[in-house]
Amino acid sequence: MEYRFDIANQVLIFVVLSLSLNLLIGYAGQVSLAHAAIAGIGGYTAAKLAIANGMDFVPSLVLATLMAGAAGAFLSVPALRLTVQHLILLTLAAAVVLVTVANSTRDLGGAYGLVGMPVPSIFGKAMAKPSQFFWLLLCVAGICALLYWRLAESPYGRVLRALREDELAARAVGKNVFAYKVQVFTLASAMAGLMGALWAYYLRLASPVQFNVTQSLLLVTMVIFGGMGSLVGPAVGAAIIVISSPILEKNLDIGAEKAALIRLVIYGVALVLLMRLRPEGLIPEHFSFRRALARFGRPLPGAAAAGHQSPPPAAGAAESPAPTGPGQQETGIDIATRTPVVTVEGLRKAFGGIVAVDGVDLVLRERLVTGLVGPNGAGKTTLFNLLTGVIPPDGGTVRLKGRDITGMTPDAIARLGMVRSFQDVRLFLRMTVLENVMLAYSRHPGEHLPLLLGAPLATARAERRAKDLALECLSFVGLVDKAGMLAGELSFGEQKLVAIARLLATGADVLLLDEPISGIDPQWVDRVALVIRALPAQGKTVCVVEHNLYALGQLADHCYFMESGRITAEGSLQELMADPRLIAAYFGA
Amino acid sequence: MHEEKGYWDHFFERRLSRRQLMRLGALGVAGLAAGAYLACRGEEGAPTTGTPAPRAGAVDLSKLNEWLGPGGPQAGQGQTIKLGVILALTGPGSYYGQIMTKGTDLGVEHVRAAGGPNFQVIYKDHKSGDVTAGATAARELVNDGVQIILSSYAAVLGSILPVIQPAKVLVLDGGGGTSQLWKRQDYFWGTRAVIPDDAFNGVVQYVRRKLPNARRVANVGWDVGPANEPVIAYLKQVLAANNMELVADERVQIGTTDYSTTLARVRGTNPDVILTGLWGLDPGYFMKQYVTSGMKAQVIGFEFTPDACQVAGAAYDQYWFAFDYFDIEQPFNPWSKLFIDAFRQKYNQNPDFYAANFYEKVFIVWELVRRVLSRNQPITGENLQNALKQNPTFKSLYGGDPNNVGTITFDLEEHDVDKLQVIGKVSGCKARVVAKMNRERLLQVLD
Amino acid sequence: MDFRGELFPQLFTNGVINGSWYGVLGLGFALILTVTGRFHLAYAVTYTLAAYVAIALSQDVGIPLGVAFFLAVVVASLSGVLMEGVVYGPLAAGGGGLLGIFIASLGLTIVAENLIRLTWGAESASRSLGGFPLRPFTVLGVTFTSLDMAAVFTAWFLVLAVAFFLSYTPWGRIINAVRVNPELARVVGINTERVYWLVFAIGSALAGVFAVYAAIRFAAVPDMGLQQTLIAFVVAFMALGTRPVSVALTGLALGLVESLSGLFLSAQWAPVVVFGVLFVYLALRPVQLRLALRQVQRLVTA
Repeated sequence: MEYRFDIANQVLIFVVLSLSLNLLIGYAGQVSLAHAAIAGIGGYTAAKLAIANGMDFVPSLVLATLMAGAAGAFLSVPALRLTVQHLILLTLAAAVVLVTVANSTRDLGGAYGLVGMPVPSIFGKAMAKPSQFFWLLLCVAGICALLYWRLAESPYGRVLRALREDELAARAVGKNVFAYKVQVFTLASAMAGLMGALWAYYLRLASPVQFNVTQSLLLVTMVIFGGMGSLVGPAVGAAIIVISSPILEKNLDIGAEKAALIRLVIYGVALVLLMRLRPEGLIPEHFSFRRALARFGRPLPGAAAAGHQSPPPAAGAAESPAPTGPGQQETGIDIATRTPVVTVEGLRKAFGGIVAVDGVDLVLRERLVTGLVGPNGAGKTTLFNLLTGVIPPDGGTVRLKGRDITGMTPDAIARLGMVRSFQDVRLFLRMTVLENVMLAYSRHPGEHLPLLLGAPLATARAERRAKDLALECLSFVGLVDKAGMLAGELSFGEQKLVAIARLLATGADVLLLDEPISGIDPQWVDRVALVIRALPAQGKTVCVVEHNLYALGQLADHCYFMESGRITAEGSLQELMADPRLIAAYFGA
Repeated sequence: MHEEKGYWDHFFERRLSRRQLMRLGALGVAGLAAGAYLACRGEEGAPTTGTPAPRAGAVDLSKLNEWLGPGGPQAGQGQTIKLGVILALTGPGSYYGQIMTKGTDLGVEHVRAAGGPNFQVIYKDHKSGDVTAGATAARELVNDGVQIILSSYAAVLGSILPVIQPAKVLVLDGGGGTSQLWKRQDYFWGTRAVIPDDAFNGVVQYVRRKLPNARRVANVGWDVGPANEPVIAYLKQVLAANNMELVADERVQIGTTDYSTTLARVRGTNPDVILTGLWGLDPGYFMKQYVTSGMKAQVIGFEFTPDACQVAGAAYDQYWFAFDYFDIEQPFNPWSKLFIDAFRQKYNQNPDFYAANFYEKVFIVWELVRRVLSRNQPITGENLQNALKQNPTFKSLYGGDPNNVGTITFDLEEHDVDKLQVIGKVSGCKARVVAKMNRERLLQVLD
Repeated sequence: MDFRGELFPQLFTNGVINGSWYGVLGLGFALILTVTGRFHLAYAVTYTLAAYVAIALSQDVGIPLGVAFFLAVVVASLSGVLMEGVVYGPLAAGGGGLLGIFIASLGLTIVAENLIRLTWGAESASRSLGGFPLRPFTVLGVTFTSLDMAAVFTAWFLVLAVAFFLSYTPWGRIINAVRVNPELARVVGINTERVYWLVFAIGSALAGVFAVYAAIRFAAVPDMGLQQTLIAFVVAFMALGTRPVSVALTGLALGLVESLSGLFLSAQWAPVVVFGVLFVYLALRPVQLRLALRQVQRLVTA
């Protein structure tokens, strides 16, 4: 009987370890090879305090958790700006350093480790036998699992997944991506540290081998095998991998050491096969039994289903609440009477020897659609990047509603009310259309850790409001019926509309649209143009970079002409296109 | 380099069609089958988990009862008793695991043939000194209700003790002994010399005789955590008493193969003698690199195994060693001779002292079982230990003379035994004894 | 205990010896990484396999050392090509991303290491390769062996050979083209898959050469490849540029740093030095540091 409790205990420990790693890898997209080492920080802290300082069980666990969390926070800082490959390397380096330090430091027991931890006891009851340990472990694992579930299946988890999908797009809708990275590292590490400490108490020792790089790789295997990004997948993966060894041992009668090795061979093979055939793991991210059964036996759903549909009647835009349809295009508007919302002065940027933006001055006025035209390579997208903080300028200023926002981060600027769309759309393809737009809801309490955990009712209310807003924005662009589909399943034109809906949902006043019409089917062009034209009526200030002069003519009240990094002309599109030199520059370039 | 954005694309695009699921299933089954096949194929060298059938052979086992007591129900015949064994089955020390397994199996076979109990042996692997594996192995054995464990590597460097002590399981270590740090531990008794400490006096005295100008001694040893210090302290004491000094103490991980930096650092201290606290294959790796290091110091280790010698090749001819040696050429007593003959017959190889220790321990356990049964008590670790304390002397493969079986006696305070040790030299991977000693002093010099 | 006077030249020499072959390992790994983009963790498999094959051929089958060496390198080379052809290639063609390939590579490494343990783990004998006359030389107080000299010469010869190959031969130029712009290369009619095989063959052969050297100099253990692959990672990432000589020099620098740390630290600390350098480099790349610090500032104020 003890034997079964023993296996159960190991399963519980590894389940929590892989779920916490799943938060990092599966949800936030941060591949870490240091997870076992961080669990080791927890294990060693507990061991050292228990053996050397005689600390009691619970206080040592608390300190172990804190130390590991701190280590995770510390590790996250250099990780903030790294690509996935570099992050893998960074965490690998950290893991090797940590294990080697533990291995070589006398006070940490050296290669031998810290042996002889006292029998832990809680509420006066000692836990020497596996059956005694089991109940505590079950409680702790249960709490961790609940916490994990709350984080994962929540607005917070939604932001994490957005982070994984496309960091830049997440920042563009106002998410402070770095804060989330630090938080998720800290939380996942704290959980790992707690389990590491419990594991050390269970074995009554902490040794370097327990927490080395191979163990980290094993944890990564469990997560990916089980299905990273899914809620329970990694738990399943961990359980299978832990249980398989004793099963192999008992049933094949091959001896403990062979069972352990064979299990690893099988899992190595399984990993390779999985990557080839089922990379999403045993349980994929959007798994639901109903859908799985329904889909079983049918051909793969392809882009064909969502491909060439004719656009639905322009419902949303035409029914926009404000009764001012295409009125702005009357030439009677006096541009100068509109208040400047965004003022740019002397903006400059050079990459190496190439000057991309060379002293640009421009003004975006309220409730107008301003066009930005120019030949390819003129620096228009770079200008957008500078305006929204994606790259820092070398000189000049950008003011939003009078406030100097030069050099701020994209998410800060987004929160202040200026957002942009991307040429390549950058939707979160693995999330549903609805989730994509809901993410843009600003100041959602559910996306902030203390409020998520401490104010569940407010979070639920905000979630409802976010959903309502998202549906409203989607109906504005006419795509409400696609709300439940994965964004990646839509056609390009539909995706561009969803991107606009997403921007709307941010509530920002200034929308910078980077080539919203290019690359989509002609039948969608009018649709998108209609939506854009309706934006000023919603109070939005819009700037559009576009090559499609026909469409731009319908949209823009005022245009700037940009070539070789400078603004060389401004006026209505007709005026600009009447200038032969500009025409030559535009087409000849 | 390559674009980062596509990193996660691969993971979520695919949904499983029925065809793919079947393919996956087929491959999975194939993989499992392959794994199982490999497992079974590899079994040839694996230790058995059951008791081997007694073989009728040329070796006459009838003498066993004369020397070691009668068989029969009151001696446990017919009873199945679980015997846990924790060995280095994999890793650089797997030689030990292999030879100890053979000794154990032979002992179990002989005990049954002599009318003793059926020992059901459960083998566990501590992976050549991995404390985690050791503690896990102990825990699994304890969960399984095992009351007596034979272990090695000083109860895997102490990691087993916190597990077996609350469970009151008796542990006998014939591989690493107790070593200095884990003497006087309840439920833990060593049946070999305390290594390397017990050899220090004899070695130093031998060095004074053979290398009278030697003053500077360096130590290269495994890092065994808290066990490092007491050993070094004792070494310094012994050296000081003999007008020598410790000039270097370099620690390496168990299983290290690259000694270049260590050798460079030791070289700078100009030692006359280098002591190596290395076991398993490690002394072989060390010697192989030592002989091309340019140093002229004499290396003296505390282990000699044939496989380490194969690794080192001719380099081992320059190696001296000191430890408790089991003489195969000239058996100590009649029981030793029987053991050697039986071992050779069954395994077609020579036993060494590790095999002898484990064989012997099985008989010690039998004796303890006999005592406990004679008092109508259940076989528990507690009762077994009490039986040991009652009378700590047991028949042994060591000591005695060609007509009388030898004995060993456990020290009730220290929980260890004082074994005869030897100093040996190597030639073409054959060892020869050049001196005999005990833990106090050199007894006899033969060259 | 002041022995630094004698210690420094010896450690320096050790550093040059180790660094030379870190450079070659790094070069093999970097070649594969920069041309194919594969995060080839299973480089460790190639390395370990070569060592064990050499030992098996030489000790069990009785083939003379030179021939065993050659065959082991061939096996190493083939194993690399096989991994690309059977695992990575189909994976990439099936839409596998870079991370998917890394995971598959991880799977291969786990399989190989444990298969080796299963097959050879229970025997501890014969895991070292003999047959090479190891003669020590002492020059100016520094000792090294004939094997070390051969290794250093081989290393630099290989580096220069690869450099020459890449710069001056048609196949080398094709490899460079694929490295710089694979899509364009494909458009121009180059069979990139064949080029990948070639690159894997060369990179794996380089690993094989030094695996056999390690087997002779030290021993073969089942996890020997992983440690060396990690070092190759470090070298490949920290090398400035992709020219073979600069990669090799990075390896040399790393070997020196690692060895010279022995002036102050016991040998066990060497990995801390090597990976600590990598960690600091990754964390503090000037651009990243400035930006990261700004982000931290914003975290607090935003």
